[in-house]
Amino acid sequence: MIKCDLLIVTAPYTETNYPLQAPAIIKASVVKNGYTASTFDINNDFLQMEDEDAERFALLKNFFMYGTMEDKTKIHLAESYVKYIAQKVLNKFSPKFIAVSVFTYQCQTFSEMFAEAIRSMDPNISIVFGGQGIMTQGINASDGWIKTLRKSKVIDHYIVSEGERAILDLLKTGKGHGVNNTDWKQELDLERSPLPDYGDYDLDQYKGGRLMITGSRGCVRKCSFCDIHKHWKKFVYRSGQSIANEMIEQSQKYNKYRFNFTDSLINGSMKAYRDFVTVMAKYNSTATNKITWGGQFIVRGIKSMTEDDWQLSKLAGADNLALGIESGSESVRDHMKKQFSNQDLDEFMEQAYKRKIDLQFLMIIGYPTETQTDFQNTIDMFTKYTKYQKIISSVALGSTLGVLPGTPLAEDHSEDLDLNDGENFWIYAKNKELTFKERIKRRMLAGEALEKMGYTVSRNDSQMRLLHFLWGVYKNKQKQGVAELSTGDLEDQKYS
Amino acid sequence: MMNIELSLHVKDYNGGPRIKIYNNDKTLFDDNLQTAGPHKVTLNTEMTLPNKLVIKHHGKNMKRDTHVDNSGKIVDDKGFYIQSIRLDDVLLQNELYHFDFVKDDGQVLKKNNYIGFNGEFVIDIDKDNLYTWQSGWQKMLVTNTEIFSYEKFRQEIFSDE
Repeated sequence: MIKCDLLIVTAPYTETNYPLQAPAIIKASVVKNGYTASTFDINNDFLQMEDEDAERFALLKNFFMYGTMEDKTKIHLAESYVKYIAQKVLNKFSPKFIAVSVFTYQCQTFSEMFAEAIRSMDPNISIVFGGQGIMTQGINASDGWIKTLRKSKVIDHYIVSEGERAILDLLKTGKGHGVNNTDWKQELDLERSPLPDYGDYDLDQYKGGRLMITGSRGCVRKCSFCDIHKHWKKFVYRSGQSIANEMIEQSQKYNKYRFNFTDSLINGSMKAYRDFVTVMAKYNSTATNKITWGGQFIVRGIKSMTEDDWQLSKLAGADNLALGIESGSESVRDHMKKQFSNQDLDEFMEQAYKRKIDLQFLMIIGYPTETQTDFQNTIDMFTKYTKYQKIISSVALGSTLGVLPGTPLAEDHSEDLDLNDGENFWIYAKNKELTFKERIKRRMLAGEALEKMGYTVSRNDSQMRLLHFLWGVYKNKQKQGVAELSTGDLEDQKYS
Repeated sequence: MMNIELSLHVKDYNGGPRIKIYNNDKTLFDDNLQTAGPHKVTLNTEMTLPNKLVIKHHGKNMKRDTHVDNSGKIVDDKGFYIQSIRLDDVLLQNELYHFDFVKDDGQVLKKNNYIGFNGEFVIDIDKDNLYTWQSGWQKMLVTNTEIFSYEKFRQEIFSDE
């Protein structure tokens, strides 16, 4: 039996091959301050079921994700599983607090059931929920669910947003910014956090073979369709040296040499980025096991990201960068405030190709200002870039633009943009030809054209299923209740 | 307060169906719909969630209340179709085919919106937020049960209608 002040657990369902970072960060933070802590990745434990009993796994996964199942007589299977896990946790650990990392709202069902089970088995343990998933329906979300749980004493506390400091406040005084309130304060000094502690993880169980790393929070852009700036008011980042130190130290400690950034963008600060790649390039030049890394990246032209920067990026281990290209039309990207030209993109592609650095393209088909010519520009861009196809590992075309509350599109263009009972059903008064049907049509044409050109269109089938379903909802004049099929994928979550 | 609106289509053989609508707390409607054709049942009630909305068909004589011709074909009946149910601004239409109809003898009928037997059509709103419930329900349906043909969908999208 492991006695500890705090046990941090994850909650299914998050689709990932990587170890979730939050418990490792929280553990490191509280241990540094004199508390004892352990972690248990329940999500990973659950994922193991897929190989053992695929049918049961699928049933429980759907229930945990959607909170319902068609055949209600089978809900007891989920209840039994949650009780089994709760018992397993209490057989192994004896904590004063259990913190549940609710990564997305698709972890809510399990989290709630788990808390109830723990409460019934040992009412003396304080239960804390944290993570983006405690707020329902995105960043501009409602805290109704979490407040109800606390009011009904299913949980004792909740922590909104960043947990490193708040969990310490909770352990020390039982209160603080973001503890049982939404008045959280963004951490402006990312250097103060210790390195994530994966000591309790069996890292060989994770098929992805990568560790996550955070170099920055927030974004330097304020794209019209994105709500990230609403949550992270400021773009804060670590020094390049500090990020490199973490990669090197963690790789040596855990024998993992591939990293994924959780950042909205790796190269937000070019100063920090240059320092980072300089240190990493030097390290990799003599390392037996060379380190590689990937994540979201801003397109920059050659004046901003020089040949030297590219050379260092390659030597430093840059691998699989995800680019928010969004559109092949400059005028559409200008409206989005993406702030890069076609020439910038051409220069970027040329350099990435020259250095053999793989890229993922993230696209938006059917932006409000997109004309037929703009759409054709997107197709033409892919035609032009077939020469770079070797490094374009995949293209995410999405399921047409959903206008999220809190985004500049929703707030600054509300006079012309009618949401029409659904994030995907909007009507833009200045481009009335671009109906929902037309957007689906363009999405289909783009998918077909790209596949014909030889690109890999990621998640094409599931996005088409979603559009098909949404189309049915739209035709019946129903209210849209589904904005996406799953936020449970760790990779997709980063892009939301 | 929750606004509930049921769109029903009635078959009025032998006086039409007796319908009772209730939730966990109280009876919301209890009447005999005697005329054939479309009916709207509008209710305005306190309904705390989670809750169950039950539409009960009762009092039908299974021998006498179905009109069958000499060849065995049903020519008229006592019963009703549930065409849609609106709960505030959540409209349930396609979803109706996925709720259970529990016959008086306990048999559960699925994928059915015609209420021809005595029994209960149950809408189990198992969340405390209507929109969260609808969202989860729709996601589950689109992921697990929807029959999807890209070619058919494409034809529809590219048609002029």
